[in-house]
Amino acid sequence: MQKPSLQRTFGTAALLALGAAGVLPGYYHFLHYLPADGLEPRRSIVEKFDLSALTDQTVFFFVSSTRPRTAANDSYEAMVSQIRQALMVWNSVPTSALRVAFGGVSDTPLPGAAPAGEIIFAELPPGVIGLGGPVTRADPRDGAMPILRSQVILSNNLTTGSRPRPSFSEIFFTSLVHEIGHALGLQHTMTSSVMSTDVTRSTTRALPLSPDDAAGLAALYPNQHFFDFFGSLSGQVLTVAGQPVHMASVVGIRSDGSVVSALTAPDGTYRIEGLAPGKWVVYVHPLPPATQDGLGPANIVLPTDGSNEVIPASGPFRTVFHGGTNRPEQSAPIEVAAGLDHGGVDFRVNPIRASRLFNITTFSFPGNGAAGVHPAFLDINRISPFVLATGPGLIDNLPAVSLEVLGGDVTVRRPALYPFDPRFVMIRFGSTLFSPLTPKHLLFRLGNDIYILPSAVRFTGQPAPVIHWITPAVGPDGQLLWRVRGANFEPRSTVYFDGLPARSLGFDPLLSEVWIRPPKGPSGRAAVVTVYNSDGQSSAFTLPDGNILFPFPYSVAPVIEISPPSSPPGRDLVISVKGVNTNFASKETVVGFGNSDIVARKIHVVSPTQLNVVATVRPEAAPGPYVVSIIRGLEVIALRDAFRVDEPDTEPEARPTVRFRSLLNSASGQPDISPGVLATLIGVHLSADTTAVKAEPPVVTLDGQVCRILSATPRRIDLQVPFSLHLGPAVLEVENELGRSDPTLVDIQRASPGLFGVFDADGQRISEKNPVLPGERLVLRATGLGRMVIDPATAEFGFSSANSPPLILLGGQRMEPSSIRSVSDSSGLYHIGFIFPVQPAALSVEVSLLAEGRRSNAIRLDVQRPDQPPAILAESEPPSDRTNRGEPDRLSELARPNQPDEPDTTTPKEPDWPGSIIEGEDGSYELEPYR
Amino acid sequence: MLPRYGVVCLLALCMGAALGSGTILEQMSLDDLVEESTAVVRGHAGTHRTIQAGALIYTLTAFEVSEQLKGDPVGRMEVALPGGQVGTLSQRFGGVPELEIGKEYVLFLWRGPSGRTQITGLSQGLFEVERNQSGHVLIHRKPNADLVLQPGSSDSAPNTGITMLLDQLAAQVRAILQKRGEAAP
Repeated sequence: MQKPSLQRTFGTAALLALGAAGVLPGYYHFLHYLPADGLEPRRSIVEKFDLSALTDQTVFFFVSSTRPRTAANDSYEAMVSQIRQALMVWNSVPTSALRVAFGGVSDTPLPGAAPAGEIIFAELPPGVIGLGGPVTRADPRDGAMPILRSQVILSNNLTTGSRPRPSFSEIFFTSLVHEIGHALGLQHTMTSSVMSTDVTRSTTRALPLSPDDAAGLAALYPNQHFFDFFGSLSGQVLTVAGQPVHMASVVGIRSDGSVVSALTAPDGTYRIEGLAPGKWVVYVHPLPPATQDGLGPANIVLPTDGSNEVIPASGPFRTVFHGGTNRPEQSAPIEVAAGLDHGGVDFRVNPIRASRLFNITTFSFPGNGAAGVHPAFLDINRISPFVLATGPGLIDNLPAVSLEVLGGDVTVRRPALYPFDPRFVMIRFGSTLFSPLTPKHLLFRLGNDIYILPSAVRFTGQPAPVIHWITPAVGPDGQLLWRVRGANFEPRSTVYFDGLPARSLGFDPLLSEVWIRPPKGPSGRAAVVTVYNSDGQSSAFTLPDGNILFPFPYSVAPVIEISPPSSPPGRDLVISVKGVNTNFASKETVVGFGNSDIVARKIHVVSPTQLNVVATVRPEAAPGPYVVSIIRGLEVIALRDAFRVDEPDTEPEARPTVRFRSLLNSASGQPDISPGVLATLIGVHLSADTTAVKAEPPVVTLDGQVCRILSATPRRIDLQVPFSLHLGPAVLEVENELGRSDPTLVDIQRASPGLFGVFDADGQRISEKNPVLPGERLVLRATGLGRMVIDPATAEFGFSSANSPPLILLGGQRMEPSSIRSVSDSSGLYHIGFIFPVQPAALSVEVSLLAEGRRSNAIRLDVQRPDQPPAILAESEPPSDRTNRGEPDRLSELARPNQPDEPDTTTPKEPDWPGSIIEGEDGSYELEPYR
Repeated sequence: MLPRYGVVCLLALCMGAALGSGTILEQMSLDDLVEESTAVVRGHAGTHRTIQAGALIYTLTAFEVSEQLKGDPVGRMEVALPGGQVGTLSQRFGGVPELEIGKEYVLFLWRGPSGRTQITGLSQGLFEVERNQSGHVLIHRKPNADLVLQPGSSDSAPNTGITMLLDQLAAQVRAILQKRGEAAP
């Protein structure tokens, strides 16, 4: 096995630097190359959304209010619900910093200057199902070409063509996710992922993204998790004559079946990013030829050079595994580690005139008498299991084609012509009964060449679900519920009404029955009911016509009132939406303003008849009327001219102003707030102080409860959030001598851990100059552990029954603290003791805190090397003040060290509190947020 | 039990969608193209202009018709293709073909309710006109999904496109129209 060597591996910092420089493209995006500069390699410019130009790093997609003609059993409302789900698929990538959200319905073209996506129904000629991708871009900056608008254009007549395309079909949904992927900046890949063409795609509604799709998005918009928890491998692909191969597809297959790929740059270099740690088998293959005018192989938009000329792809070559073999068992797997790049995975390939096998599609029969479906699933309990395949070159070369399953955990027979339709090849498997339920990658061997189809067949433990009927019943709580009866259901089966999931209430395995509560639906309309199983199959396989319908009851049209009905630009405001017959429900309600310059950032359902919406009216929002759309379950309500943007303020008011998410955890600097946390509020006119006059401290309230003020300046208030707050959204307001702020909402979480620093037993901050000694006792200064209670037996602080004690995360390992102490009764600051391992795994390790499933900011600890002399600190801490153990009652006291009366045998000497308080020139004190 | 033949035929329909990078096309046979098009014309591409219709920009190319194979006779028309530039707004879609000024084409066209004339199936409905050494008029279509997904193609053939005599196409169009009971122009 090849191990990464020091010469060939790059750390996380190096990975970040490589990504920023754009030297090696991971995955494949819309690329432009700058000319080579002397000895410097050619740099790439990638098309992507500029996160700094987006509100909350979120790209909102708006759906055209012009309704298309829909197929039988389909509707515009159903289509909107499917679009919402498709957007959520891309929003669920945990390693991506880009968030993706539904922005409501809008007129076309979408008004507004902020970058956004729009989904349009337009007149398209026969044979064209849709268009999409980035359409308008700004000038390049910082190595990227910012996308200003992306469009997904669907036909306004979905009833025509060789077959209708209802929104409840599998192909509509996966195509939608695919097109939104293009709109976000992704191109095609050949790993049978959602960004593969439909010919080889193996994703479904129930398993909509593959690791390759997630890696593709994260490589474009990486967050820290992407670098911390995933690695990469890189190398170069050259011909045997030494010529670089441009746009060769290098694919890694992990032992668990995951597949991730990247394309080579014009110089043949590549880097596959987003690889989970483990062993990867790597191969390189040519892309299939283009099937559309003006596109490169695999229908990829080719990169351009500095003169805007297209850089062509290299020609085909023989597929080969790393090590120069076409036998997978002879190719040594490569070990990938998190945060590291394994370099030097190079290939030499033999050019050929044309690939003889490519773009092979597999089909299976889902049962219930339904037609064959693609992608192929195979029930391992089936007698004589088989799938069908077709594709260029397969039939003509069939006598010479042999087949293998990569990994070899199941045998496969030589393919034969399907006796019932000679356009297809029948692939029979040996006994599958004990085969693992993982995707199977098929290797087609033809002469000296091979073709690999990743995830060609998914093995499952049962056939696709079938719905028999849906009937009403009374639940144990006396409420109406619905029983969905069928076959092949499982405990994790999810029932969807068009594009919205029903609330699952129970499962009866004997009757194969799921009990659910449907989402809200439009009066008198019907929704198609579909059951999705966790293995990727759905009842859309067995009931493709959507013939299980649920009629929603007739209801009275709602009446809705919006307050305030207007705002000047450049404001965040809380808009109250009240109504009659509204039936608002949390997680089912969306509010939009039909314009990319006004976005709803938070929706709080107060009651079935009231919502509070935190909206941001961006400074560039044009004055005038706006459409407000309220999506309630499957119902779409568009209110024309319901909101107005006023002319900009000529003279801004001199009163307190705070923005949404401007109350930050003082330690982490993030808008993570919980009861008792030390927090910093950023805004303007927060204090009425002037250089000449010291004003009264401002009053900050959360849901009417007064926060303890630690320090205040006109632009910043340090405070403590009351312990007694209820969880959920709370209204934040600031009042001082200048006036009262507009309210905004703050999410109060159960816990929001943040670390100010790490200190040794002498109260010295751990730093590069004061590294950790193995086995040393350390103290974390933390806040945001949530609600605390006093233990009546010991009179010490403990955690409320709702909160569990925090855990320490040290280099990815969980540890229990040796002690947890509150600095004073209700200060919100905690000292958490732990013993650093005697034998640390590395000389630099990150520490963070985990409380109620939430992770704090991380602090990197340098460990003293065995041969390193102990550091001599220049300054010692000020002497401890052992008299102050209570709650500080004056701002000036907050800077003083705070020590307990009794020595603690389990914790080291208490550090002063808080080390990050800084004294302002005006005599005030501020908490310095962690950076 | 193995499925019936008719069921498998449905599989072939399922194969019809070929997604481009930004363009989703439905596979169309020559028969489909003739049937779905409102006009099939031969002629020369002229100058371009761009318009914005809703959220989409279209490039309109003047087309001088020299021969009409299907549809009402018309001397000159404008053919709309998605994408182009209007003012500072620019749109580009991968997979949308371009019409070169002065070049001769056979186009399969579709006129929708909006009155815009577009190419049926985009690149699938666009054939370049050439003459061979013996002076026969040939039409040529670049490789497209129709061929790539055609089962039974030889190993090196899938990307070779369509080349046929214009007379052959004209005969095929007439035959299809006759079968449908429509009159040729």
